[in-house]
Amino acid sequence: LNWTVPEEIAKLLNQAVQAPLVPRAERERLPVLDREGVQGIVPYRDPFLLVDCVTWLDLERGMAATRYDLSRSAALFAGHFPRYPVWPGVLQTEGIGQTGGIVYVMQTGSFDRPSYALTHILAARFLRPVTPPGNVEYIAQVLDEGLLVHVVGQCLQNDSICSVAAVTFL
Amino acid sequence: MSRDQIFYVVKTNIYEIIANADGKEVSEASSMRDFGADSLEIVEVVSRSMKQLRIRVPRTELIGLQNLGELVDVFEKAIAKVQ
Repeated sequence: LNWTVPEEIAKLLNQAVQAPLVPRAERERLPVLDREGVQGIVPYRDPFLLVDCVTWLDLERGMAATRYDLSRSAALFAGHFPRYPVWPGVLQTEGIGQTGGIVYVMQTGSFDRPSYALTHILAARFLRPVTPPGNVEYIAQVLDEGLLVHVVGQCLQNDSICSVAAVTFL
Repeated sequence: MSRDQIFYVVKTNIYEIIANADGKEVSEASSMRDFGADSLEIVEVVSRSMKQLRIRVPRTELIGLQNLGELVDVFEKAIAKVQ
């Protein structure tokens, strides 16, 4: 098996570890798309729609920033963990993927797809815990590769980078 | 771009992605299944080749291809369209 991460993606991951890919001031504008709008684009629904709104979008660069209110997942925190609630790393990675999915659909106009298949988690690094209450933000950049779509992104809380990940979907 | 050049791109990606292809001869009559490729490895080879050739081919045109020669046919047509 060839487990290497393509150079272009490794370079982006290294950038993503160091600083938010989009400055906070730009992400804090009024949402460009609310939850209803997001549901018109991607097929995820509660309880697995992990994006409340798109706060920033640049389709030319294939990038978006989104936000999610952790209180929507109160039931999940009851078990992860009862005495120390933490937003799971797998869901941080999923949120990055969903944010990339929004960019991909808006770039390609493929609004009617009923699902997406995750094919790879190319890399992920969890730097600090994400804890309720509050929001998380995702910033994602999409790299289209023919049939496969790579997403490199960050999960932030209070402008601190909590995780970075690169995932691929089909 | 010549047919040989297109095939070279595909062949290079086969050697990079499909571990079992190492040291084996890859010809236009070969199928990626001959080297034990799983469905995801096949998608990776096709996807990466499309990116390197700077073409887009709808998935529907890739269904039912029997060997690498047929894949090169599809890529050749796609390249002719963008030129």
